[in-house]
Amino acid sequence: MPDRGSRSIEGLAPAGFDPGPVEVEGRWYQLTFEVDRDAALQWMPADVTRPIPCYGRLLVVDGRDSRGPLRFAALSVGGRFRMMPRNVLVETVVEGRGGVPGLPGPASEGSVTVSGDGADIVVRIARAGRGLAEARLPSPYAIDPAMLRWDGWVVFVPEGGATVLAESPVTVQAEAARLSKGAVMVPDAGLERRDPWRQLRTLLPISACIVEGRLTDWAGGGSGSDVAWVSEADAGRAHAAVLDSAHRAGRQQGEGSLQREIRHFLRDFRAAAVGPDDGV
Amino acid sequence: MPRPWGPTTEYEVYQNCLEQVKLADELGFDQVWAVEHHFLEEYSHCSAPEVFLTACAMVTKNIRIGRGIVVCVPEFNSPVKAAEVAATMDIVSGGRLEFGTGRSATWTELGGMGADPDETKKTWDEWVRVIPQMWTQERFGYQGRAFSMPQRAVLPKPLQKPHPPMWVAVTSPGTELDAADRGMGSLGLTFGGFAEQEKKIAEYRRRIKYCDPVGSFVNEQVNTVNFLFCHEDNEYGAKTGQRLAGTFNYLAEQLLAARQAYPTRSYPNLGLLPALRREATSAPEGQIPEGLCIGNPDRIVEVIKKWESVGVDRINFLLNAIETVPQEEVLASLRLFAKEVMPKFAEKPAKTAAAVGGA
Repeated sequence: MPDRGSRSIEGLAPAGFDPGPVEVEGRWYQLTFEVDRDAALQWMPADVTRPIPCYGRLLVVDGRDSRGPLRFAALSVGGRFRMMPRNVLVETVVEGRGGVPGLPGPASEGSVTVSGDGADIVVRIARAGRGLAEARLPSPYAIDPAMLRWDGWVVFVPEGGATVLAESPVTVQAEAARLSKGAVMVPDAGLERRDPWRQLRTLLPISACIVEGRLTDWAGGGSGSDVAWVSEADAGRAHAAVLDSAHRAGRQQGEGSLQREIRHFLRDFRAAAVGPDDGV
Repeated sequence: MPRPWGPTTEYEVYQNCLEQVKLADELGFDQVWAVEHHFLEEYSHCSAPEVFLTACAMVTKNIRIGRGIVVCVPEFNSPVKAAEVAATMDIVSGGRLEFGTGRSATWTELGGMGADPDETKKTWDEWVRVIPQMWTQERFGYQGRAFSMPQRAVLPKPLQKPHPPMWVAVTSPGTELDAADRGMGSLGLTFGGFAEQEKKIAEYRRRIKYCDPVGSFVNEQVNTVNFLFCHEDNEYGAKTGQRLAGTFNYLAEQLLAARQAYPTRSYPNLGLLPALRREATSAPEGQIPEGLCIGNPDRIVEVIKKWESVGVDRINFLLNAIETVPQEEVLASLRLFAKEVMPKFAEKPAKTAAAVGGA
């Protein structure tokens, strides 16, 4: 059975939670790159399974919302949540705004700068004055924005004093887009080993894009859609228990656990919200 | 290949597959296909299907041997080697090879091999044109875009003359039309319902009439894919079959489709994901999704007749997924199918041929 994450979600929800939508006009950058399997599992909650191979996503937003200029970098790992590919939030770094996160979940205040270096675009991310990572997008070229697709996010929101997972659909109205091949995210050399920005560094570039337009992020699940709330107690522990017992107790018991797992999967899947980005 | 992987897990699964193929041959099934996949943990550990299929040929007498498919991407295979291996398989199987082609649909594989997703359609198109020439020309030389070679005799030549039937795996929308335009068989890999398949097949039939065949003959056939679990008790058969389908879909969902990670016109959809979603949601909970060959023989006969009516020539059956169904039940399912279902289609074997697929 697929591997599941091991990150506890307790305490990951931000103190203040605005279900959105967050509507940003401006430019954003998204890098997709392969990451280490063990690192990915460490930053993924228990009710998310890992894809093969594991990949990370870096979203850098440079725009303006109703409150004014907004610039943040969100690091995520690719995961499968209710059968669908999702970006599972690891941490956002937000410039200004008093630490209010760009996406609900762990956040830090810091700086996000974007500059040109010849034909390349370079993004530098720092947390509290300390360099975290640099992303370089080599020689981007224009593409039809319709070629791009957008996965929703899995974020962390408060409910009844606890943290629960929520799906955050993303809607994009793109006016222009560029693609870059070979883009990488490199951590700062002095970063601690356990820092996610170091652990989730690029092992193999996949793709990167730069888009101009409007990005709408429904942190609360979106108007009229089923909000997929999953508490750690309900889902994560149950899944983890099923898998643990399957692995420990050998094949006979594993087959029984597998059947339960598949049944849960189909039930969840039927109930899941399907965003407009899914049916490409 | 179910985790946890013990020292003999892969051996046991391969032996199970060989036993299934041997029995299928004895029972009168027409074809066995094995995939070429790389790096797809649990989902498929079949990276050298030519070896497995050669073993199949050695333990069988009549069943057709389907190489499904050769990945026509230079980082995976050389076209010369692919032609040589296929010809050798055709010889040792006594002229039973079916030659499937494709280009991989996952970043897992393409990225792992260092292949450029933008290029795979082009290299596939080049290869399906040169391989039949290697088989039929005494000496072959070529200057192409992705592949060139000086004039050489590519040996051996296939036993089947002029060469084995050629197929293309159809996952992306429109690839069935690529198959038609090149005079190739359509090897369907998605689980669309009757109406959708009927429309695609009609267009395939229309287009292939005007094709420019890449081989020496036109292989106008539609081979689709399905799950098979046949049991006297319809409820048990359906329940077990749905467990099989659910397990397969769950594993497929973990793969990283090329389209999902890499924006390219070369892969316009998410591989299996959209089809899986339809398949899993096309029936209310507790009911069998449309078109699945699971349940008792009467129900399966009905379903196959429906597939036949929409224009399908052959059906490839997935028999198991990570050994969800015990081997004894898989074999019993094959026996019951052969006894109760096959006779209903015996009068038109070429058009209703059932098959087993190795994964």
